[in-house]
Amino acid sequence: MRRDNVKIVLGIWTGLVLLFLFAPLIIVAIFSFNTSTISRFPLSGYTLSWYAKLFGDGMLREALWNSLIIAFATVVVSCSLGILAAVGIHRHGGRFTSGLRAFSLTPMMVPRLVIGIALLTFYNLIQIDLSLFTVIAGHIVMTMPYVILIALARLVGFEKTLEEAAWDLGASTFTIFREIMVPFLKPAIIAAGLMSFTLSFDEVVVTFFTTGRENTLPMMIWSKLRFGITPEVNAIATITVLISGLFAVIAELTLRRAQEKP
Amino acid sequence: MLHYRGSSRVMNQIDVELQSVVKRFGSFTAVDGIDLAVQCGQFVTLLGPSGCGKTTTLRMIGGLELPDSGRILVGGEPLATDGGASRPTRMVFQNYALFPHMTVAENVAFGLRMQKVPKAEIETRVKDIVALLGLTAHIEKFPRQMSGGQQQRVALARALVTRPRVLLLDEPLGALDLKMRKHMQHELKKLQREVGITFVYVTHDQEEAMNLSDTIVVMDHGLIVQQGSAAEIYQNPVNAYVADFIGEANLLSGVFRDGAGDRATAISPLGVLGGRLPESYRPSAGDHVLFSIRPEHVLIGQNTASLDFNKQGTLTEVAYLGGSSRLTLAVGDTTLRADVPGLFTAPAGEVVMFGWQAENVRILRHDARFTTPVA
Repeated sequence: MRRDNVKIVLGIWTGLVLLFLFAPLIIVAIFSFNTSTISRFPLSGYTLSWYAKLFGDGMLREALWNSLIIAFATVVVSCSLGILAAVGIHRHGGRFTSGLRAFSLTPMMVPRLVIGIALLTFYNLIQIDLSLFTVIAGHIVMTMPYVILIALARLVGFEKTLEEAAWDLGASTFTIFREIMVPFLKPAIIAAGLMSFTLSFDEVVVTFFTTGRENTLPMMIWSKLRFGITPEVNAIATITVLISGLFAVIAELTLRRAQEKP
Repeated sequence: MLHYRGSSRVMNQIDVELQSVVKRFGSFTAVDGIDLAVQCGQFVTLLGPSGCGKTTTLRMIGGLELPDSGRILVGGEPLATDGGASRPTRMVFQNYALFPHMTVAENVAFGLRMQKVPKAEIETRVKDIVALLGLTAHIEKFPRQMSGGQQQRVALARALVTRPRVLLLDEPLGALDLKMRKHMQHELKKLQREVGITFVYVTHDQEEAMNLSDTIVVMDHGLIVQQGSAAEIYQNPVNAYVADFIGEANLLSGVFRDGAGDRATAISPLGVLGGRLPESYRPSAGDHVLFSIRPEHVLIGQNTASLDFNKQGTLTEVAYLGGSSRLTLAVGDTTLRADVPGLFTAPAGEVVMFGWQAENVRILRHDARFTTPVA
């Protein structure tokens, strides 16, 4: 009987934690279908007009498009450089391994505001016009430590004899990397890619300092918030959550399949 | 029939040669200047406890470690250090090191792809070697879906399919259970005869070494202590380390008295004992020595009266091992082990006669690691 009580208490506790985590998201999603412009229960009625309005908004479409371009570019560059850096640190770090590791992870600890200001100062110094490229560069600086961290964690479990066996069978360093290391790192690459996508897609602060005329989706939300929390903002937020969530689900499924079949 | 690069060669040609090879890791000297010549088509085992330098030696032959000094020749040519698919050796690793994301077929084909063998030929060669090792039913499986013994075979197939001149094996049976290990020993020996190439094998298991090898190379602290066939090493160990490591030995401390040729006498806790000296060891009177007597050379019973040496002792333990019985005898402060065939019926505590022939006793150099208190 005691066991059952414990189970019930744990169940209720878990439910409360989940509610705490997800209630705000659910409420945002609900209000995005509200006919009234005021976010208050009871709802005055259901409508899709806010979504229709969003998709009719050319500036918003452009912002979404910019956000996606930035996120994809960030993922590609950040992952390729970050994975290579992790492999380099793991393989050739020697007695510098822990130092290099800590050093390459520092940007993660630095406040985004500081990264943003530093990037802006740097761009001014080398006289580069702010554009999508400067935003992408900024996002790479911000996300690469996460990629390195994830890849290094996976590499700890890598058996060096696999490399030796491949070398023994005549594989070149590049072949060893492509055919042995990359398949081993696949789950880490996927996780790192999705992580940097989500980080980049949501980023406001670094984007704010590094963008020129271009707007991104989170920046739009910020600017719209000046007029209060409108159902329109709720609709944008809901779309953002859905895109991020979709990627998280894809990541989870891919990782699970990778674990089932090596 | 498969054709291996070594199979057309004359049998007494040297396949692997080490000349004064030294390897240090920091301040630790793993291999301390060894010379070794391995004949073509032989099964050679490097034997010794962990840390004796056997694996380092094997890895140097395989090119995975570079010697600090000395030369290594494979097939009469210095080892290329830059890798590549035309290297003459292939290694079978202790943990198999199979590529986890590849099937058996893909694992086995890997080396052939690196050698740029045409696709159609890869397919037939993979099929042949997989059949030879009895893996045809598992060819589409991933390594983790297979047992340790099967993974071991895949590792062998992956190395052999590239037709190396020398196959290097680093404790390949270490991870298997006893029964599987015995079975794989038999399979390995058979496989080596079939493919006819040189095998250099590393193990710390003396029974495995005796079971498999044409030549055993006993190593200790980075040096080769003795090499020869299992029988030569067992019957004529050069020192107490070898006597103790290969088979079992009763080691008794003593003081050398006199000798002529390989016949000698020395004073032991049991009295003056006659024995034989190894060729390389000629002590002088008063030197500390060790006697080595194999348990099966210690005979028990009344008929020991006619032997070169006999005495009375007390049985302290009797264990029946199936084919033989292991007796433990106490004579004063000295403990002796004796193996007698069949079931031995006398109980512990009984006083028995024991003895041996002087020709079965070896008088060896003193070694502090094996010294027993002198009575």
